Amino acid sequence: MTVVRRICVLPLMVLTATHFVRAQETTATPPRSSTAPEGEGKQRSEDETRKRLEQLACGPSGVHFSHHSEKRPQALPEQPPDKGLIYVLRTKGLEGATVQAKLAMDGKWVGVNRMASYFYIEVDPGPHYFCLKAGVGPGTIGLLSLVIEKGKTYYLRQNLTMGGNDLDLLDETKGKEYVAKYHRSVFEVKPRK
Amino acid sequence: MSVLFLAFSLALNASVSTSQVGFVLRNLLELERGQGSDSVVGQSQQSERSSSPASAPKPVLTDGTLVRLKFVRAVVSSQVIAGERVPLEVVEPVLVGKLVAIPQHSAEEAIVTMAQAGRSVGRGGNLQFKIENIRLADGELVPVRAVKDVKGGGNRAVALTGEAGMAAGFAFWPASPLGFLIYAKGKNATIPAGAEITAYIEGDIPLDPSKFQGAPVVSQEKSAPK
Repeated sequence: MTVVRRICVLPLMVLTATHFVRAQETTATPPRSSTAPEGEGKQRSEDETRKRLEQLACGPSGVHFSHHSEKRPQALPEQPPDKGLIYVLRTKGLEGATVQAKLAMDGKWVGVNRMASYFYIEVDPGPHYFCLKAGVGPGTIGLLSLVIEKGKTYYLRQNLTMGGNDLDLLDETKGKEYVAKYHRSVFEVKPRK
Repeated sequence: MSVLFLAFSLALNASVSTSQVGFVLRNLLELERGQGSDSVVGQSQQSERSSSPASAPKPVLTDGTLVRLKFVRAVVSSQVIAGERVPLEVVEPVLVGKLVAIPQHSAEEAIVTMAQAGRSVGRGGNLQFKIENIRLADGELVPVRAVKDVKGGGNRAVALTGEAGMAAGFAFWPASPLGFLIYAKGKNATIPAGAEITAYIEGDIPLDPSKFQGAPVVSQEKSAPK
């Protein structure tokens, strides 16, 4: 009888202990915001940071755009007082003439450029994460994180090189110069087949 | 006897009436001034206040006061993301008279406003910070202005090669050493631990000395760093 009792009690004890441990685990793990960057307080490695930034910045795979440039002169937008205005431009270069340069912000693809073209986006103030993707394979992703301030204009250059792709923050003079001589990109997401 | 009594009673009445008249006159004067009996108490309190140290001009942390801070740990542009906070420490106390407005070694934070790892073709990374607030010894957060911009060093050989070198390197790849240079990344922007950053108090901040009672008070010999 005592053996039977022990056999019954033992699994109960194990079950209770398991539940207790699981409860401790769930309460010990704080809820994480999907957009807040990790790693405050502790030092991350370069690889960990890059992976984290890719997760925050780049959009899902399999999103393609149809694209053309607006050749007629375009009126530029007014600077919204409560938002940041970002021009994303791609300069002329030797590399990737036929390749589209996509830009994602905070995990969503927002636009695409071909050579000597630009588009613009209005952005809420605060930290934002940018991802440039052009071509396939390693080194085709360029990353940048930036705190956007309201009422300010930013110029991001999609810089495609043989050594990799980068997003460069240009100064206002240079940025305005490019925007004045380039054409505005017109694009839309291609429907999935 | 009766004359004497009459004279005594007249004198008593006269003294009472003069004191009454004096009381009534005093009240009338006070009424004219628009003050009641409370005003007397109020006046005495005011005089007490005027003689107390509280009515002395409040110490003010003036606009542009310099706050020297240092980075607690090294910050590398490839290991941080914009929006993150990095720890700072106050290098020397900020004094307003005898009052320690910001104690030495107190913990503060800088916000990363731009982070970019070393780029292709040997171009360096970028790192930018700002400090928005600093905590006073009484716990109050006060606005400051401070920015720091650090650029990573480029790869000199690649920088000299430039775009033309890239084209040449591509043409002769992989035989040409230029081809290797193209793939060289620039250096990350790095701030070593202990590097200093200066913040400036934004606007005049009046201080309440009673709230700084727990904070250390220094002798007059030490002057406030400005």
